[in-house]
Amino acid sequence: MFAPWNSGSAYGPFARGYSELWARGRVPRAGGGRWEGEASIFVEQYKARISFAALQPTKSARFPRHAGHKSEDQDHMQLLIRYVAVLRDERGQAEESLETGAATPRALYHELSARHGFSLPDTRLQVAVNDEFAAWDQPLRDGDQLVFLPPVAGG
Amino acid sequence: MSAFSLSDTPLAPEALARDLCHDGAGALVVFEGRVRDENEGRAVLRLDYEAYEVLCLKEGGRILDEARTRFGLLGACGVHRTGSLELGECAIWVGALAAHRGAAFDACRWIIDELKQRLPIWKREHYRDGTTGWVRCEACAAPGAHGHAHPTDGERHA
Repeated sequence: MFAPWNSGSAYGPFARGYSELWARGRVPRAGGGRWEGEASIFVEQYKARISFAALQPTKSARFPRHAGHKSEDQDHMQLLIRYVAVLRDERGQAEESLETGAATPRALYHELSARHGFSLPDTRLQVAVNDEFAAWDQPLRDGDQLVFLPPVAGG
Repeated sequence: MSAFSLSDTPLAPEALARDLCHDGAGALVVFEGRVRDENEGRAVLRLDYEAYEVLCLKEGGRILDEARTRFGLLGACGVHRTGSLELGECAIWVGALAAHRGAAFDACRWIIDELKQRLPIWKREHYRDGTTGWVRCEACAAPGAHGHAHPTDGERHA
């Protein structure tokens, strides 16, 4: 029942090598081109990347300037943010890499919300860090991947 | 199959039920959730489901594991659709296999309730009037926008 694009190994933007291209800015972002054969949901509307499934690049691949050493300045972490559902609509793109001084997911969401005018307060959201549910006040680390989760509506 | 999965193609309930088998099982209870033509008074034409796949698979697996332990199941399966669905299509399928019907009924109900509350999946409805909306997001964004409560919002994993 697993769709091939969940396995992430065969094709699509998260196939091997994507992270390097992404880091170099060679891969089209939201609103860019479509990958042949890709089965991403809503690709027609958003060109959105729905999953980090195979996006498990090394830190050095995503952030070459941090390669091989820990960030010296914890005030300037580089994070990868992915936007889903209503947040993607409001942000106008599916993901972004940014430098921030925000120490926690909550501080980061407040920073982003002030910048982009998100309609949902953090009290209505959950947050995932590195593909796992996370606490709003846990310390962020350089290279973390975050997804803010709007109220779920499965089933 | 005895696991949680996502599918971007139509589900096959008969095949899913057939795969849940155990010689000690006297009961299989299944739930099939379908796309309905109405939600909160608005005429719905179709749905889009968007899943955070990696986390969905993790959380769905945890729910099924919890159900097996909690209800002593001999098998459990859950599949959620992604992508665009038409009215009447199967959006989610749950099967609970147990020695006796009591545990199978209880477990099936528990599993579907947990999946609905915990899976990071979002549903966008396309309405007859031409508009669309993310369920439980836009209409509910303003406090007091309408009457019903969302007791689980913001409380889980906080």
